[in-house]
Amino acid sequence: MKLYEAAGDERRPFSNRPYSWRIVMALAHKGLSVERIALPISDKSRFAFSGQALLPVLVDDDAVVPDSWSIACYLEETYADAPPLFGDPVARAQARFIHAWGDQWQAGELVPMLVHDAWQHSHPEDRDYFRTTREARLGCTLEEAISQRGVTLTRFRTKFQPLRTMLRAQLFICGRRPAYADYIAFSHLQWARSVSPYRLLNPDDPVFGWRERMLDLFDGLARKQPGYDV
Amino acid sequence: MDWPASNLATTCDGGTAMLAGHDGKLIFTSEKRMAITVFELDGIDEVRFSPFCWRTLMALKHKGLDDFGRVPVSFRDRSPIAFSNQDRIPVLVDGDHWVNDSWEIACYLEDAYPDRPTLFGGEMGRAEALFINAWTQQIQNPGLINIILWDAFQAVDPADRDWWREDREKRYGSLEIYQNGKDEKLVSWRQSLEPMRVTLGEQQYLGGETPAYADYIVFGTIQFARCVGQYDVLEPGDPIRDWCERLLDMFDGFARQAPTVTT
Repeated sequence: MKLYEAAGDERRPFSNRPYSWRIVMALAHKGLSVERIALPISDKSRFAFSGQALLPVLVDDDAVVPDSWSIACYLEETYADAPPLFGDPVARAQARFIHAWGDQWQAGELVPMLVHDAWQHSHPEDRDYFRTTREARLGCTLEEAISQRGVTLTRFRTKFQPLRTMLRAQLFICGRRPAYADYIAFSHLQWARSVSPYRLLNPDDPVFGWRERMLDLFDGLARKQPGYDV
Repeated sequence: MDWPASNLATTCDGGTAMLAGHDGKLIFTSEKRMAITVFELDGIDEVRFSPFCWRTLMALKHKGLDDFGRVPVSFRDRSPIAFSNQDRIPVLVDGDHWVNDSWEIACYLEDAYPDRPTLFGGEMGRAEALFINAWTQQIQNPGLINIILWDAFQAVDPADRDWWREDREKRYGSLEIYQNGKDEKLVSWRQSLEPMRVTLGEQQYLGGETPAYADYIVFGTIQFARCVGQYDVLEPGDPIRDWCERLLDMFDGFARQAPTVTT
């Protein structure tokens, strides 16, 4: 099994992207080993075999599966005897909502705060592509994007209130044990930790404690990746 | 013995039960004892807008437990639930067992009636629904409350208004300030619902092909707005409004038929 991912810089041999990380965690959850192949994202020809232009792409024998959500569903169905990522159809459907919730603050708060740091950690071949595409999306330069960090951080922490409230009653989004909905939310914070020394969470925040538990999973799989100790 | 009207609950087959003795103990005097009774907050002209009560009502319908009694309780006088030694509503009574808190009630129904249609799917679905419960708490309060508090006040029974004003102003400040500035607040509130909108672009309900308790959680919030005459907090054409319409049609239009304030 091979996972084609967006590469980071020379200090980041594997991908740090949220949509890769949730799959890396999902594969570990299923007990599956995978060969991780990091590619610069500006050269689409290298993953044109997948018939589309985005990473990650999972290749499992004859199956070529792009898109993190589709990959998670593929793993759940193909490896049905391994520990479940969703457990039941309702949980799978609700995990889509958590996916959309994560996307909301990724685009709205995380990217504006961290995009400049992420650019510095992008693959050397991707620097120009990264800057051009991100600046077009943001409508400002990467340097301008981070100028409002303090205000954005306050808003970002407010976005986590639902998770904070929920953590009073249970250890993980999926209950007593983590599963795919946890990996979704965690993957954004893993990206943040990988690219930026900017501290997003205070240690007394229950969300910080939840992230610590996620970092410890699978013998510290996520913690062992290069990153900032924030 | 005279019984206050609010202590009478009528079953669907016409049987009447009397609840809550003067000492606060729960007693049933009907020969046809109801399986389940819900104590819910009552507003003006039988408008019952409590979002938490709506979650419970829809959960009961989902479980097919249609034969439940509904006892209106006023905001200022919670004596009908004195038997529970607490003042939070809804309270669900099932036989000689009572439960308060809409989340606890949903869990109770799921566990007590496991053979009926599921509210959560399984343990993982239940855990995720608790997250959606917390998300909804955020979009409801301060989100929606900030926009429709004045309208909610208009939907309170006049006899309860002094109590309601005092109680709410402790938390939210003067009610009058909520008469203005809705349009600006609506823009960011509608934006805050984006995860829901995106999800509904992929599937019919939060629960997937059919609704689950998570749908009723969010629905309770929208039904709250709708009951106080503010359904337009969702614009026509918004996929969330379309989803709400589907839920209003469910159970033979149970939620659609509920009295609302007409504006």
